[in-house]
Amino acid sequence: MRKIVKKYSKPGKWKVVILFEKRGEEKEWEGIIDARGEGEYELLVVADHRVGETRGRVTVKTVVGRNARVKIRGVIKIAKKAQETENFLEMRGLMLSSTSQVMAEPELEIEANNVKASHAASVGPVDSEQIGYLRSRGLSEAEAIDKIVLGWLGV
Amino acid sequence: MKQILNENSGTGSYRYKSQRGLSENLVREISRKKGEPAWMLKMRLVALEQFEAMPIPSWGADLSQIKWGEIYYYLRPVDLPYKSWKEVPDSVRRVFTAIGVPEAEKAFLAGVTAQFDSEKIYGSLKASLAKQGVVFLSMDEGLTQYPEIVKKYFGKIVPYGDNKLAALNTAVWSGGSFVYVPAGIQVDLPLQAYFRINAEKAGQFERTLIVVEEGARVHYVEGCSAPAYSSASLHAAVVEVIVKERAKVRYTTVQNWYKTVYNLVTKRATVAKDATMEWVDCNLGSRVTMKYPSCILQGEGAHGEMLSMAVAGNGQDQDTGAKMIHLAPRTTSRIISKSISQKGGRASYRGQVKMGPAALGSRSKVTCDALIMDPLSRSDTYPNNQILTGSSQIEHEAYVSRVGEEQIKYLMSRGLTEEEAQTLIIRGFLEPIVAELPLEYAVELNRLVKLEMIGSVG
Repeated sequence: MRKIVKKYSKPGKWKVVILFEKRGEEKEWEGIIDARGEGEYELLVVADHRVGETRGRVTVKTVVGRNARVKIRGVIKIAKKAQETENFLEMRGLMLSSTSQVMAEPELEIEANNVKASHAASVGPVDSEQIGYLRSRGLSEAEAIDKIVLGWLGV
Repeated sequence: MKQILNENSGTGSYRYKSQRGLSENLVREISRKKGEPAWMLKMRLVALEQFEAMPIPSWGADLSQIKWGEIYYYLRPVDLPYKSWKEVPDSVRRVFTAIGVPEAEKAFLAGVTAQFDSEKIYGSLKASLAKQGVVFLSMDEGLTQYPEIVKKYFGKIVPYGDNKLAALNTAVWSGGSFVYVPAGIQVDLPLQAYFRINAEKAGQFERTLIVVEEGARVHYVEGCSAPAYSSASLHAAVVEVIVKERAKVRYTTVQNWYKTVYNLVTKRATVAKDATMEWVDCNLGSRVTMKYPSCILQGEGAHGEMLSMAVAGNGQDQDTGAKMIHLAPRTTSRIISKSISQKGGRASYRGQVKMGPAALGSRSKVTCDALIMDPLSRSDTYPNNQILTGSSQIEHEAYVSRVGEEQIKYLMSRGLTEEEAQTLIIRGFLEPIVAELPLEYAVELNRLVKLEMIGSVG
């Protein structure tokens, strides 16, 4: 599957529509919101399946720093005649500070019955065990968190 | 059984039947007939104004077909509730017998109340519990006999300005349950309430208040149904539950309104330190249901849980979900929602998990699974997750699909017909919810689901 990756590293508001108009189309889209800087970040991504036998995979990852607010709304829409469609929408948020805020709204609007549509969202803080391990290897806490964030973003 | 459930017994013998439509005079009349204190009448009137001023919600199911002016807002079948089933008029009693309420009461329950249109017609509570200070009455009786408790909590969890239907309920409420469990008391058997809409174009506006003191435990079960009318009726209930420290409450609903009823309900619980609130919600009937039981997790270590199932058939819109609001540290919540849409029905999950800034170390997990049985039906999920502190955790997953063909083929290769295979798979799908119901309800629910599912193959 062809994969498109988009990165957003400054506060802002974006809308992305992934359209499936040709039978058999397969598209993969990944959005990475690097919200380590203060401010408001808002992303709306819509996977619009108009015809059948299309496959999609949408992933949104975000790292949220101090006083940063991220809002992610992801919609999978499957029209009545878009049978045998598959899509998986995933949202993952990593929070770096007690003042980080995330609003995650993964939505599904399904009008065809012979489909597989699912979504998952998880948001949480950095794993303290991972930090502990890196610190025991000589990194400072800040360096450890940096490394974990880079690994998590997958860049 | 379905036949008896779909019949009505007419309103000829009713003690009181209001005019159609809503008016200040009607509200005053209701309050006067019940002999209420002045503060309750005042609240009803303010709520009526609020109802008239507020718009119908612009989200959710379609409510534009409700004919507010044609509904009977208050219908009183009898003057005093009966204390024994023998005394209850035959036409009323046979409905409850068909559902098995008197039988269940003898064997499985700690107490029972039965409501017919706007008033309670029967009530009982095991003597041993009454001696320990447990109270299980209709809301009207609760107001008369325990005014201080009612005044302390009524409208505090769901204020009349909360939404248009809560305002309506506060103005014309009648019936519903008042449950009070003193500290430390464990009520082992369920308390059961059964609500029946009988008259055509009736509105039922029950108001329930449940107060459970520290360390106490209770399980409240309610069932509801209405006969087969072609015109619409309205059920707008409000339920307020207060769960104090270390207490545990479970509230189970099996909703089986006929397919012309608009079922618009506000249910909310506050949960104190180390306490637990569990909602178990089964929605089979009604034309439209909009219901999102909530837990406000106010105390440290509070836990909220929602197990919900909905079956949406032809012409039905089940718009249900849950709200978990985490306001304190180390609170947890879990939502499991299972829905089936078939024959053109629409099932939607609408939920919210909110982690407030003080909800440090809190966790929540939401799982929504939906089956769409045929190309005519529809399933949607609208989860709203707000995490306002970096040290809390939310997980959410949802899956929408049809019944797996390989699963059906496998069962058929073992000798089941396609219909039997389908039914078995659906029962397995719903099993996590059904397993939590009291035994006789689980049996009943399985039967009701089976009735709904017949003919949905293909």
